Amino acid sequence: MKNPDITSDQELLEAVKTGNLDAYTTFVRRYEKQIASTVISMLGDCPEAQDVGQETFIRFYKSLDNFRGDSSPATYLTRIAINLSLNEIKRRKRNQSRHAPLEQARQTAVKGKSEEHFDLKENIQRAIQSLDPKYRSVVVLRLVDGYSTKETAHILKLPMGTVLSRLARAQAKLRKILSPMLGENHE
Amino acid sequence: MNKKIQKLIYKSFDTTLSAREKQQLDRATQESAEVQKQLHELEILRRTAAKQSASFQPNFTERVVKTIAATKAQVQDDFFAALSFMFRRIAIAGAVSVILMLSVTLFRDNSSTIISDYAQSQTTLDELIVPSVTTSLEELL
Repeated sequence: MKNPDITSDQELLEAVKTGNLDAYTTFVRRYEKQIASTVISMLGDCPEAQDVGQETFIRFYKSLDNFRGDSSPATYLTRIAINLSLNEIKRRKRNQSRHAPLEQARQTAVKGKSEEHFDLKENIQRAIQSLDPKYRSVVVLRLVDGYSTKETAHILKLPMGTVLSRLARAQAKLRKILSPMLGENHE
Repeated sequence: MNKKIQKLIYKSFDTTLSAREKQQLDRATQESAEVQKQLHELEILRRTAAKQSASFQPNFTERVVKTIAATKAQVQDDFFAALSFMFRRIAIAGAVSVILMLSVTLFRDNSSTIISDYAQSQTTLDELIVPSVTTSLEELL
């Protein structure tokens, strides 16, 4: 194979289909950061996010034979990552009552950590995670990952109008939470 | 704040406004400090959100590929185990049916041994042809 850095996704995936795991290593390295951004923005920097990230690439590998290339691998990966993150959020909610003290301790730890490193970026991250999952996924894809509104609608399989209205509501909520901090950041 | 202007503020970030909408928003921005503030805050919010960078723990890729390799090996092992299990079942069923068929044959022919049963069928060519010819000649005479 030629230099892995300049090999196209298509070539890499063809090689992976023949059983070449080195090609998949290159592929995972190429998209690792992007998926980390999506998953960690959805779930926070926690062990579950690591597991969801890992599961995203494993699911993609297993469904490679069904991948026809209609959308880019990045879009396909992001869709898997978002769906797995939403499942994890649902699982957390189910377990919240059972593991309430544990969850409380974790939240306190996260709070303590962010108070030490008090900055806008971290507060935005925390504010995003406080949003309802349906708003969170739109914000993560549109604002954090930088997908267009059309791409966001395609990934979430939602009409454009729904994406736009959820985005507007989510931004209004974020602005409300972060308003004092955003006001300080006049440039 | 006017709801329509509020809607235009959000719309301006995601889609291209028509000339009329743009004019309305520009006018509102010039006239209202609140609109200015909201546009500014949203811009900071969007810019900072876009700068969010996150990464998985070190050796993430290696862990993913190792898990896939282990799963593949497991699937292969499972396949051969299933194959061997199936073969064993077929072999046992085959052996049982051969024994059954043999037993049925022995009982039906009322033979005590396989050898005697086998021996009965050993007729020579002479036995088959000559007696019948002799009989027919005697009858003729």
